[in-house]
Amino acid sequence: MLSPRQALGVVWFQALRSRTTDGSFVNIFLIPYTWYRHLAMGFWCAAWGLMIWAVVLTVFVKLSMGWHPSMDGSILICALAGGIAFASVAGEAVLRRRSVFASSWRLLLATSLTVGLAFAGYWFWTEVFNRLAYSDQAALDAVEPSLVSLRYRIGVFGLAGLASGLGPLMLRKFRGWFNHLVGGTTAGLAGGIAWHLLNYQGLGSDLFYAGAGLGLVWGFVHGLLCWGLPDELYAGWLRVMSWNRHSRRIPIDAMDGAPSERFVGHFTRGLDLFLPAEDQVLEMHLSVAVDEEQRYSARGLSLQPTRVRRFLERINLSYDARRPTPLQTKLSSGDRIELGDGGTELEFIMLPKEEQ
Amino acid sequence: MKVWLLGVAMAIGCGGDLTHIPNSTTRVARPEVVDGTELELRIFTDERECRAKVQPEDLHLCMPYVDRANGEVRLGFQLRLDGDAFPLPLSSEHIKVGHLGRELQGSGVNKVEIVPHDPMQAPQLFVLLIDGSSSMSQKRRMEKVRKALLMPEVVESFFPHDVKTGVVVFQFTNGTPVPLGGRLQVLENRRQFKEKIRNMRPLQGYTHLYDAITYATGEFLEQQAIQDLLTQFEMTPTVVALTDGFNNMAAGDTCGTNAQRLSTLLKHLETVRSPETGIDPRRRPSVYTVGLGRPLRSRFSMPRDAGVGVTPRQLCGKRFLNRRIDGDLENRGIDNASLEWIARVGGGASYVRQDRKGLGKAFKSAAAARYHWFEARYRVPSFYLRRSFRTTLRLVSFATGEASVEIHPSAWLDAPPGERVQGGWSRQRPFRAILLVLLPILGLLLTMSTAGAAAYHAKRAMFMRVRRPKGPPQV
Repeated sequence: MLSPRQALGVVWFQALRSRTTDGSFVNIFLIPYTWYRHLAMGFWCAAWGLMIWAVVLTVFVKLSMGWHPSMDGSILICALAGGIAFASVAGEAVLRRRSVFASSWRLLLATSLTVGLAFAGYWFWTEVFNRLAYSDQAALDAVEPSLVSLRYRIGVFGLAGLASGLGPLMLRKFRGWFNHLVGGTTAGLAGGIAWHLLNYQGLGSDLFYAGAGLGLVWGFVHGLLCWGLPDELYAGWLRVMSWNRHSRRIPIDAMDGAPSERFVGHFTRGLDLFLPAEDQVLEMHLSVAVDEEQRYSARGLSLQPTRVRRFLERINLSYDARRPTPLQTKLSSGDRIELGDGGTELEFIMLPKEEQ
Repeated sequence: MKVWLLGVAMAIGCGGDLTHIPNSTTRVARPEVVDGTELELRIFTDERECRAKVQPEDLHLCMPYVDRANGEVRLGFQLRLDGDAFPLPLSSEHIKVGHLGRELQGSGVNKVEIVPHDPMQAPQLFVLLIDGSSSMSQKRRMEKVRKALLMPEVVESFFPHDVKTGVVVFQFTNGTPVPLGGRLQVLENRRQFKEKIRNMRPLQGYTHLYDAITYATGEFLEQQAIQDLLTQFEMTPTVVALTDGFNNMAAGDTCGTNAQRLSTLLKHLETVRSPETGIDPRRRPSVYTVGLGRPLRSRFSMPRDAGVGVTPRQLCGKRFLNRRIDGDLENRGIDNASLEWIARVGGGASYVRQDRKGLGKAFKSAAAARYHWFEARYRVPSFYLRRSFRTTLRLVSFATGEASVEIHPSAWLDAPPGERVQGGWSRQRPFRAILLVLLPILGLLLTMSTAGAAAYHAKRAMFMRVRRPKGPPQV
């Protein structure tokens, strides 16, 4: 497994590294193929959101704020939107072991686009929409740069969230556009609501924790909704669990991603996984196939017992001579396959594609 | 489009006249000093000015500070006359603090405090007015006063080592107060003072307190010899009046009859302290009052709109309005309402004490050091700090002075909130406190990132998916 040093690697440095072998903070080896993997990008982007907040706050506090107060919001919002968009794209690059330097111009373009859109959205909402939508005292409040308010800023959060989805979407060639647009907007709004709740009168009126909450929640929801870990980062494996030839394993997927089928039996030549006949495994006992959409299935090829076991479910795949085709069932990571009555057992498991 | 871009460019490059407060996300505008006041009330907003005016260890207290989480605002200020610092013994009664155009009362959820800094002894002429009426001979009251005045710290306050001061002691009963010992003498050193005080004895008669204060702040100070003394040594007159009861001029006096007399005294005090007299603020008297005994109206508080016109009901309340002083009220307590009123208009403070130590502290406070600069701290519900606000400081005693400053906290972010310390006020945390938020959350996220893998492998280990079976199955 990973050493602590690997786990605590410097995020920025590793995000820019080309092919590495020792892992990073966003590390596919740390993300098993379980439902939990959907949270991984959430944690990653949340960490970035939090750090962006810390950087912006440090700039505000330590540097002389020579700009006009009305710029405070646009600086914070643009930095968060840009930082979170960058985190999403850089995180993907790290998971795919891409050289970020090689495609840095795309990364830069996506981040710049996000920042530009967030900036335009901020000024549109505060200077155009608010002026048109409100009148009298509300109009004065709406354009008051020092007023702490969600009412007059809600659109700023939504538009900035949308921008943070649009930048990575462009880089991903508009794949998953719905997730990016809706997820990005939702993330911005969720961040705004977190910011509001943490600074709201009666809940502390504290814009310190509110700022941290903004970055954290925005980043987390963005990572959760906009870009989940695709299955193509994983490959299916068959692994022997029984005593004889324990831990032998073979990958199901072809290197080029084309559909493929692997055979298990005691035939000594040409099969993908050999298991001894004395364990009641027949010459061609079982095959596991993967189609072009990376769906896995097991097929029983012998009259001997062949069973797939999973939680509260047991499927018999023994060959039925009356049927023209063998019985088959879909496989999920963690399924066990029993071959014969000799205690031979296989496990189907999804592992990171780079697992050797 | 061009106009819009121009506006954006101006916003980026132009913070106007606002000054950023270091270690915060707050900006302040240039303070506005109200014209036509005698003293310039200078609110500190510039770090360089703070460095020049205050001790290095107090630098962080000098700059404005807004703690929105705790609803607190702090401003450092100094009073100046002709460009030089004008030290004063200010407390919260002497400065009115306004927030968003409303004067804060310092009660309920609001709290106001004036914290003095950099004490210094100023040349002063202390005029002690000691009650010599018959009642002072009862319950060893005069002895308590004598012992209190002879306490080393009180003597030290009246005669500090490094500055020239003088003390004149009067006793009052009927009519004009008489100098202690029968001859007017400005006591210039501790030995003379102790000698005089040791010989102080009660006299006989009524208690013409108001007349005594009127004399000490008027006719007495106008004497040429006293004027010369004040001018020669640049002394400021400070009147300290002590009584054990009420202003009582005749046997039939009631509490209510004092209202008109008190109004007359207050008008006189207002006049002698008014800028319109043209008297140098340094020569204007301040009046401190000390009551020996327990207060008759312990729950008395000055009316909000208190001026110099006092009604009998305001002074005595409903209960004591028509009660006689002689033989009745004077036995119940002392007229703390009058004393407070006099001190308020007289620019001093009022103390009511029952024992020697308490009296000693009161005298010491009356002869307190003056301070170079002050902090005005106030607390309001944090709701009122959620947009730019104007804070106004107005001097209501000693002289006139007023200034205000517009404060602009950021609408988006705050520095770490202050931590509550002794005294109930919060202290600014260093910015590194951000790590207390940043590191635990980042650590949690890191842990959560690896928790999935940890749980997954633990589960596999528990369900025997990792270990090799111990042998072939027995069929």
